[in-house]
Amino acid sequence: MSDADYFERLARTVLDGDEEEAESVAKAAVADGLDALECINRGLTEGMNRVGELFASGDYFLPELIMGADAMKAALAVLEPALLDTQQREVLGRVVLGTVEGDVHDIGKTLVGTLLTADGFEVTDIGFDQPASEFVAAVKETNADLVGASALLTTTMRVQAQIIEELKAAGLRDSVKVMVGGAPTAQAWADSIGADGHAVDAIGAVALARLLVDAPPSPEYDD
Amino acid sequence: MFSETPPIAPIAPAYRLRILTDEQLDRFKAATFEILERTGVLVPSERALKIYAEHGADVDFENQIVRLSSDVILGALAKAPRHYTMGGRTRAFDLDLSKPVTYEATDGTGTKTIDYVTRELRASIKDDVAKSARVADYLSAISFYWPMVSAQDHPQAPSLHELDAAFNNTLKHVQTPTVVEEATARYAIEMARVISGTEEAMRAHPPLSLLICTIAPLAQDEGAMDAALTAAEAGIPVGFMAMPNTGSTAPATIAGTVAVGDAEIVSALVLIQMAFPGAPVYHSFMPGMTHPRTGAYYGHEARVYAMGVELAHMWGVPTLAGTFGGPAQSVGWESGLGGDLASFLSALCGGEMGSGMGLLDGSTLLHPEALVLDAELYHSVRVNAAELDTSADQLALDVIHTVGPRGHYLRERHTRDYFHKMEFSEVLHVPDVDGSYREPVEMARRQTDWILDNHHPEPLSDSQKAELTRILEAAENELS
Ligand code: B1M
Repeated sequence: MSDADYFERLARTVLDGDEEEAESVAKAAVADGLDALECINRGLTEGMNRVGELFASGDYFLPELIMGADAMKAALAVLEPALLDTQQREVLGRVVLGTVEGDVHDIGKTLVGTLLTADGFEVTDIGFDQPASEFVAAVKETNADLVGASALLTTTMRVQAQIIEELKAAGLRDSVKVMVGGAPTAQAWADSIGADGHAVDAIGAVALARLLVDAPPSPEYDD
Repeated sequence: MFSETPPIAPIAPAYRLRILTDEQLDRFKAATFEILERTGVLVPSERALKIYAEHGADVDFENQIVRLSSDVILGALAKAPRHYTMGGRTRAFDLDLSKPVTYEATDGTGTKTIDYVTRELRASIKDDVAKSARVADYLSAISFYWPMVSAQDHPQAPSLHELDAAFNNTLKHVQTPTVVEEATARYAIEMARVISGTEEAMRAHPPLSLLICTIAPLAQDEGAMDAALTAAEAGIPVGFMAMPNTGSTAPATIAGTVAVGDAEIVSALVLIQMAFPGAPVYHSFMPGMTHPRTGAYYGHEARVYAMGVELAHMWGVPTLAGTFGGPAQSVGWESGLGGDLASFLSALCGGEMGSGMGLLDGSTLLHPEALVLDAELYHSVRVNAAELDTSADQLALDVIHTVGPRGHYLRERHTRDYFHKMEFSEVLHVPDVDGSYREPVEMARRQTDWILDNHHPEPLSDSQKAELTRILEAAENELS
């Protein structure tokens, strides 16, 4: 099989959202001696871009987006360890994302994570009901550029402020941007707690994340 | 000086409807048995896990998973009362759930308000709860009251301030969806006791009930389950509402969504009956639909909410049906969609309670006119469901013979009398000076303003007010 065939097959596994196939094609490519970085950039990323386009045009729905990202992750787990020391996968930025303590509303947060992943961010989703300290620990662990905190309850919004305070206390506030969201939050709230930005929905969250990491606007969601 | 609270006007359907066949109900029952026996539910509360274990459930303490056999489920649910009474501040406002009627409530608990006076959009505050409770107190469509928005200006104990504003401004039963921690529940019960006067009176006619959400898929909330147990012990009715979202927190089919939601509710009802046999509980199935592209939450077709009524009755408990409420962001064509149909179907299926009037934007926005407009739809449902009077006087044969062919009925005493007995809307078909009809939204605004200017329900006694204030202070000290 030619290199181009491998890239196309990898892209296809992402388009089909087929985790198992993604892993096995990735393994075959590595065994055949293909360059892992090329497999990522010309196979997986290309596949994810096509998924993004199909989602933006209304042909794909959320499950295709999520399953595509999962297939990509499965193949990455094989390809990343095969990168040469001099190589690094390009990501737009590393994001720690979670729903704050006391709050179990996680659909919106999961959606934000999915769209960020599809757009080329590396997302560490720490789940729901997470205290400020867990956000800070995850930032340290992943060397994140961005923290995203979701809150759906008026009683849990204050944890978003706490995260900012704890990042300051840990000496991390200058190295990480903070974005907040969730139905009861607003730009004025974000300003009042010193967050770097607020988004009303998942597409807005992608645009904001790009802005905060100095990436150009996303071609798919840019109309 | 205070004004009388008009009597409530529940829906009293004269005819009935079945949406699910017996075979379909059996399939749902079997699905709930299978889900609870095989996969189980996640219950992150030590107190709850112990109760389940002591009463025959299979409990995996390490993973906090509870599995229930059909025998254990049926044994526990057999103890749940099919009917009970939820109290108002006075007996005239009691909700007797054994009556063949449907009582409906406001929606809650939103987070934003369009100010009744300035019409500015802002975060909700306690005074919005007080004002909306006063409007609800006046409207006969509203049989019981959910605090409509959050008291965000009282961040130490918002849910208790919501109750304070509610109890002070309506004589109707109050149901809260925001008392979801054990400590808060204790104070809420104290407040209910103040309203009732004595422990016995509170148990006989509880002026407060709790609404606790289960967490789709197949989980319960730690704090909320502890709050539910505390309330049940005190005789405060507790309902469990499942909100599975079709396509995200439930399968992308209606039957699959019912299966997940019903299993969650049943697992919670069972817990309460294990701990406090005979405690008043209710079942509430309130699923949403996931938009396949935005993920946003919106309502299902109306019949899905009425199906919840039939599920509740299958398990032998009363129901709270999701009736009004939708994604519209302002009053207009969209805000009127669906609520009346869901209300109608739920009433015809025999639902005891329904809620959802008066909020917009996915139950997050209090809009000044929305409650009066929804009340208008409610009354059209009530009239359509009511028995038609075919008595001799209504058949009016005498007057038909008298007028005979041609002629008209306008000068008949019978016509004059009956025109005055008919219910005419103060919102719809109100003539303007030029012969056209006035805008319903404008009329709703006038009615709302009139209520706020003129309706001041009987206040609590000074000692009751002082007691509530003391409880709020104690709660704020403990909870802050
Ligand atoms: C980091 O950067 C960003 C950027 C953008 C971000 C972001 C982060 N996070 C979100 N966004 C934004 O992008 C997303 C995608 O476009 C959007 O996310 P959303 O989450 O807004 O949108 C989702 C895609 C769809 N929306 C949703 O999923 C939320 C819908 C509503 C109806 C809702 C649901 C479904 C649920 N609930 Co709850 N719930 C409500 C909600 C009312 C509403 N209409 O918002 C709300 C939030 N709930 C409320 C309540 C009261 C409660 N709920 C509870 C429970 C639940 C369920 C478990 C049943 C379920 C959640 C299931 C789950 N797995 O998530 C309880 C609390 C549990 C807890 N401890 O958290 C309970 C207390 C009820 C009870 N009595 O038990 C109300 C809050 C009132 C308040 N004072 O804050 C509420 C407004 C409903 C109401 N009117 O009463 C944007 O906000």
